[in-house]
Amino acid sequence: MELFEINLAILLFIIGNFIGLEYSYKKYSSPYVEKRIDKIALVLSIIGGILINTPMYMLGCLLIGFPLGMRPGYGRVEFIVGLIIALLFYLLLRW
Amino acid sequence: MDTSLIGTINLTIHAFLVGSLLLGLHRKIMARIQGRPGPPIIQYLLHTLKFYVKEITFPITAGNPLYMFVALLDVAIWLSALIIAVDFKSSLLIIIGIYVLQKIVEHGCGLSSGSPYGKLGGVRSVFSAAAEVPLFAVVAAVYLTTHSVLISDVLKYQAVNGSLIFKMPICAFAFFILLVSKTPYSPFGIVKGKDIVSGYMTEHYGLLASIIYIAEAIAYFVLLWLFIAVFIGPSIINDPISTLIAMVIMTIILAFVSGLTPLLAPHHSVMLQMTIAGLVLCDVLYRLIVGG
Repeated sequence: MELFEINLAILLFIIGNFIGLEYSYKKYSSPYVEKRIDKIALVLSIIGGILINTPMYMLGCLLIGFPLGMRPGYGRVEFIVGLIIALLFYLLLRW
Repeated sequence: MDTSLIGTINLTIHAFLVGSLLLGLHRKIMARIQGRPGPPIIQYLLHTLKFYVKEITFPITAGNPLYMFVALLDVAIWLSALIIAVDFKSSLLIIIGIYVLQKIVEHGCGLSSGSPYGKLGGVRSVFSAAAEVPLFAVVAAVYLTTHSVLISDVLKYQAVNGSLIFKMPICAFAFFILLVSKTPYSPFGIVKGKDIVSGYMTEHYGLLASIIYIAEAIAYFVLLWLFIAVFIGPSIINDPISTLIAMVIMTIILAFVSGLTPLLAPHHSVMLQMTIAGLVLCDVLYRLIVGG
C-alpha cells in the first residue's frame, strides 16, 4: 500500500474521530451517565470493521474512527465490536 | 522509500499524523491505567492545530531571536532525522548527532524564555544528556555485530541473520530506555516534569508551541521507527501497515511504563541511565573480546 493512500486513510480516521467527538458532545450532556449502547455508533463501527478489509478501506477508517472519538464513557463497546469484526474479517479473508 | 520531494513531503505528513495520534493514544492509555477518563486520542493533534492559529506572544524576559528560532531549529532537527533515517536509511552516527542537537534546543528553549521554570528545564536537559550515553554504546555494539553503522546495512544483516533484538537484548533494552526517556510523562521526563510547570516549554506559546509539538510528534515517530528498524528488522519495517501496528504496540507498552511509574528525581534519573549505559558498555566490551 502506498504511503499517500495510508495518509489519506489516517486523515479520514482523524475526521471520523472528530465527527464522533462532536456527535457525542451534542447527544450526551455528561460523561459516564448513559450505560446503553449507541445504535448509530454501533452500526457505523460494524460497517467500518467490514469495509476496512475491502478496497473501500478509507471509508472503513472514517467509520471505525467514529466510536473511538466519542467522549469518555461512550463508544467503547461499539469500537471494540467494530475492531473484533475487522479482525475476524481479516482472518477470514487471509485464510 | 520514495526520496523525491513529493515522497519526502508525504513521509513528513505521515510522520506528523502518526506521531500525533500515537502521543494521543499514549495519553489516553495512561489516563485509563490511572482511573481517569483521559482526552480523546486526537487531542494532541487538536492541541497542535489550536496553538497553530493563536498569536505568538513574547515574554518580557525573552531573549530574541533565540526564543523564536529555537522552535524552528527543533522542527528542522527532527525533519533531518526523519529524512536521514527513514528516507535515506543512512548512518546511525548522524542520528546520534541529531539527538545531541535536540539538547541544544531544549537548553536554548528554556534559557531564552527567561522564566525560572524554563531555565530549570534547560539545566535539567543538560544533565539528562546521560540518556545519550546508552545510545552511543548501542551504536558501538551494533557496529561490532553488523560491521556497519548504516541503517540500510543493518537491515540487510537482519534479513540474513534474523532480528538483532534476540542477538543483542541488552542493547535493545538500552534503546528502549531511550524511548522511555523521550516519552511524555515518563519516569525520566525530568526536563518537562510538572514540578517545573512545563519545563523548557513553559513560556513558549501560540505558533511557537505548535511548531515544537509538530517536532515532538515527528521525533516520537522517528525514534519508534529506529527501534523497529535496528532491532526488529526488515520483516516489519518494509511494510508501512506492519510498522504502524508495531508502533501502536510499542506505544501501549510505553504508556504502561509511564502510567505505572512515578517521575524520578533528577539525580535518580541520571544514575539509572548511567547504570544502563554501564551495562551496555560491558556488553560492548564482551563483544570486543569475543569479536562481534
